[in-house]
Amino acid sequence: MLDLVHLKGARTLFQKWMFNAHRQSVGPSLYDPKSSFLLGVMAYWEALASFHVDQNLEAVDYLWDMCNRGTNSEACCPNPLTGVSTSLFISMAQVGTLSRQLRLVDRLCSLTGPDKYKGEMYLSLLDKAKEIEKCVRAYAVLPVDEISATGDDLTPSSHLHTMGVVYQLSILLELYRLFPELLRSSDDQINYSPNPSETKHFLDTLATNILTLLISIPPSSRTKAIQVLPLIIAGSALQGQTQPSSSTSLLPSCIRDPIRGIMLLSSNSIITKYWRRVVMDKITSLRDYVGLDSVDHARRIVEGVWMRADSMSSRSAGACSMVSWLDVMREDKLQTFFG
Amino acid sequence: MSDIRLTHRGHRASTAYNLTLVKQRIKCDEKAHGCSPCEKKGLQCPGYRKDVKWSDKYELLRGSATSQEQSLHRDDLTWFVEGALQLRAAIAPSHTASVKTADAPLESTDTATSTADCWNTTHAWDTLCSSSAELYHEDQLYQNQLPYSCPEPFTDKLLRYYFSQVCGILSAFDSSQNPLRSLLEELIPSCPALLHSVLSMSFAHLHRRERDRMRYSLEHRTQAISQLASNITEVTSAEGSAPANLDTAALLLSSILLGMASVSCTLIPFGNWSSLSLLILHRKPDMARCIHARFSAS
Repeated sequence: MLDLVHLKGARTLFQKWMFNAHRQSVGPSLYDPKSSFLLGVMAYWEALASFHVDQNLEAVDYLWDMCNRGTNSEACCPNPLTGVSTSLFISMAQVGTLSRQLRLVDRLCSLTGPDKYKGEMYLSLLDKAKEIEKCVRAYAVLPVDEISATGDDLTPSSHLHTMGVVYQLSILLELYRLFPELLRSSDDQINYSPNPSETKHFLDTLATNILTLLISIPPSSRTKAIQVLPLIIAGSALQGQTQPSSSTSLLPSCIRDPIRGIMLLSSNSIITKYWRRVVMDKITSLRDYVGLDSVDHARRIVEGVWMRADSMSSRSAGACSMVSWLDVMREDKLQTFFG
Repeated sequence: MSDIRLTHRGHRASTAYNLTLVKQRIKCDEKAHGCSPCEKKGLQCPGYRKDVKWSDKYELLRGSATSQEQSLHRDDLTWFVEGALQLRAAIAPSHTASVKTADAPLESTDTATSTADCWNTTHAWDTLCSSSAELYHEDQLYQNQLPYSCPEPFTDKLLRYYFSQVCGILSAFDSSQNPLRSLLEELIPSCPALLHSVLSMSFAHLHRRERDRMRYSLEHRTQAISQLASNITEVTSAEGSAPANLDTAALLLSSILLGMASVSCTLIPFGNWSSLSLLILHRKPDMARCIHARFSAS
């Protein structure tokens, strides 16, 4: 509960600071660099804390009040903790909150039976997920020429732009993993509802896209500071096959159904292993850069997910449920601050 | 030879050469008893000196506090100072604890005074440094490392370490425009909570391989929490805007740095305090309840 205490204190101070800034007739405007920085820092922390603290779905909405007051006419000041996408961090905080709420509903379901699961509580979470998805999909990461220079030769604005896209895709990946129903088309003309296997392949593809973007950023870039969370989200989604298929063909169903065949490629054992190695290499380089063993928790979380997923996959070939990195983090006690 | 009369200067200034060497663009290597470049040239090295500059960067003039205010501040912090002393006793190595038992009352009085008066002295920075230095005073290793019994160097060392290492690792970009550098530099001198948050973080990273030294980091952390608790009470109890002597932005940053450090165990690099904190609070449940009650009230 110590963490929640810090969170409460920071929220109180932030609101007080907002109140002060708003009252001042002379002084910093709400959108001067300092204000933008404090908003970003708060959003960053809310995003991290949301995966560790149970709270209500509206807990971080107070940040939107200020975030929405920005003007598009000014060049965006990069933030050392959120890059150029502070609003995406607020969305990430909403997703974190949602994931913990979903876990609570799951636990309730295990106690009271499956009927309740499809009940009101789950549907309200799904509605919130739809709202966040719509907001994140509509978000356009700022073009590089609208971002103020960072003054850092190792980290030009383009890296921050790429990190914005990485976070956008990571939020969507996490949302689709938690609520696969979001992938169903709601359009009357296109009635598409992916089966669990297709959902898994879709998530695999999204994860490899995120990793490709991360690899495109040079290793010397300081954006490493904000790469851990996307690495955990994308890395833990790599739950495709790791055992070579008995079939000798890489594209088993490509001839009859090329779209499905190509989509299945992302879950091929060779490709899955390759991307897992990429994730491990990235986390290892992060640990070397930071110099602390605590970064190793990210590695243990991701490896834990893979181990469980591979074990499930070998036990029942048809099962398509996904292992949650949040469950691994909690059950393997990699969040020691909650004891 | 007149060129040689010009003095060499330290490497940290990084720009000084004697004129002979400047003309040839050769850097002085500051070797004792005459630098190598002069030796190679067959010149008599005039030696180098390091200029000492007086800086008032961290000096605070806060003479406006009334005795009544001072008393209030003391009352505010008494609860924590007592708890902090218990905490220190809990985390100190057993041999140190037993040695300290005899002179504990005297030490308690000193610590209480220095901590409670942080806000009220005319030279708050000096008091802060002294208070920080007390943390290291009992550590024989530090005593051996420091050539003088002067408290400032270690606090300065930790601050330098934050700005040279930690800040860069923590930030997604780093330059003079990085607010985690420029804004903190501006706010730290006037906000003890922020200072101790930064020192705690800096210490934890600097001594990351020495778990037995982590208690020093934790001491800074507890000092930051105590200051913050007191300040949040002042801010929240004030009607309308926050008291003029408290920079809400600085307090907010302190709170966030503390929180991030404890939440971030898995997601960002800095976070070994949390498990340590819990371990200690587990050993001292009364202390834990006291801190939680205090924060909940805030």
